Amino acid sequence: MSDIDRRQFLAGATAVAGSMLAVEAARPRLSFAAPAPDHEDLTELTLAQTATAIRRRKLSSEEVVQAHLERIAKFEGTYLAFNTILAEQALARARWLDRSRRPVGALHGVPIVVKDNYWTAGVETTANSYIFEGFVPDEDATCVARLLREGAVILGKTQMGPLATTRATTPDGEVTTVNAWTPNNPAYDPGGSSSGSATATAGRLACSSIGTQTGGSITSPSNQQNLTGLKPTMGRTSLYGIIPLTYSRDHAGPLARDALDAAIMTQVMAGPDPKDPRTQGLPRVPDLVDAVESRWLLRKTTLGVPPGFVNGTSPAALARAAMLAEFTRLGVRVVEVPLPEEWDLLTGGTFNNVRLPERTEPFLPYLKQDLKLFGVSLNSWLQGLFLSGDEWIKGQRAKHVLMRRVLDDLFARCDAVIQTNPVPFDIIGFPEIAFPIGFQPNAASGREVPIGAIIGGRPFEEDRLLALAGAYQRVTDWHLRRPADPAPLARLAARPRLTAEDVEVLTQ
Amino acid sequence: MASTVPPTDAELDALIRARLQLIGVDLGQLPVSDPEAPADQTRVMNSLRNFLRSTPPVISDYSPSVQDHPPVVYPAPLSAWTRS
Repeated sequence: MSDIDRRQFLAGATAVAGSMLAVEAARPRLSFAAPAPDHEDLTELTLAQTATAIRRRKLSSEEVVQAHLERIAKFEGTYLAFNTILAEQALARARWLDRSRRPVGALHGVPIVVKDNYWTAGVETTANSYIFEGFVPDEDATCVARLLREGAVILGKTQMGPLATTRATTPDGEVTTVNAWTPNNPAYDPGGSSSGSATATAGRLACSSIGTQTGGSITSPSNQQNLTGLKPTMGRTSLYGIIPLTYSRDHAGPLARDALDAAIMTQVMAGPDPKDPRTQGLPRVPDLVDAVESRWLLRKTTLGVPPGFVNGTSPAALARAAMLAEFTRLGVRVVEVPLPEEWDLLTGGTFNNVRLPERTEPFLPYLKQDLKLFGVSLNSWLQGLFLSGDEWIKGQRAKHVLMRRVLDDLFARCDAVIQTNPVPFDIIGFPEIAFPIGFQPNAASGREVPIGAIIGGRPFEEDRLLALAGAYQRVTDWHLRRPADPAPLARLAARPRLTAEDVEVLTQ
Repeated sequence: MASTVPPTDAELDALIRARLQLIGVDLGQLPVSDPEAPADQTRVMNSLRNFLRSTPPVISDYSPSVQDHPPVVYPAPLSAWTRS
């Protein structure tokens, strides 16, 4: 070994050891096997199938990574899912993993992508904002470190709404990432703000992905792009090393191909982190992978349905009714539940605005420095300066009221509840799972687009949500459908631009 | 009894400008009015006036039980810490 090689090895080993110290406490025990069907295209495989095949040495990480990089080279020009593509680094890591005698972890060799608001050591992390242009963290976010520890290969950083506000745009509002199901129609919403992670996963540019959610940013893009997204309970996954949008409402979680993949990713990410006090002193993380197959958990679940959920004859209403019928056939008790008192007031726009001072406070130095750094996202950052301290406290008391009513009224009647809007459970930090339940025509695109559903649960009951989604996916095939490839060299419609006023309405 | 006459645009503008000036945020960094720009002073002022008229009054009027509902920044973790 040359001096330079030795120095690099020692430096690398030291960095790994340091990183391990930060994340060692939560190393999960993960056991799964998902034999892959014969696919000519390796990018068709789920994360679980890919990991199983690599572990059994039926595939190499290098060939899987290469297959995804080839799709990125072919289609990224249309999708615009990435901020940074790490092709060389990914291939080098894949080859290194292929040379190891035994798997380093559950995700050994599996290619994933990371939303660009997670710190990645040595890789620019911008959150699609002028503010962080050129910012290169010297360490990984805890969730990223845990994924790497388990052997994941990061293909790149994904596009997002600026500072995690809307669908992915440039800081000045020009739409970037398109929905993988409507690649030639940039006007059709890919879901935000984890748009790039969703498009990369749906478009088979990566096996799986991670995003963040403050106001629907995992569940919305998952529903829009036929994915299974899990927003864990506040505190279940560390927020250390994630550029904050709203301290009390940011959540880190996966956007995945199915419930099993979401369970694996969450299991790796979850658990106490010495660097994030919000993760301390909480219930232990259950076996989420087992939960996906748990018929016991399923039989012990009453699913609450808010009034009007299946009203109408639209394709979405019919898909919702069919989903509930399927759950009933699976042995889940399905009951209509009234929403708690003052639901619209406590979860509506006004009380949702209580989050705004939390986004303003850490960014005040930038507001003072140059307002243009915020592009079209400026308004809500300034609005956060115009709630008084007593109004902010009132908002925190209202959150307490909402939590008690959800626990004492809603969850007195059921164990999990259909969500027609992710925001209420974002406000109180309860978990949600999004999953595909059908398709409907989209005239503007001339294509079928996904319909999704969201189920919310009690705090720290991600296992029950995964059991529901897993059971539903054993008897349906919506989640197996993949979007058609974009036509090469297809002429795209003009990419629209969001104004500051649009962003003010859409912001998470 | 306090006046119930809603504040005028001019009164809100004075409040907004004074607040921003107090903490050192300079709206003058933005063009006065430029629909092509990501943000301008006219649209920012309009947004902040709307915010002040719609949000603080509703929140101020809400009165949960003082004894039953102390403030909670992180409701879900609290539910675990207080689970009996």
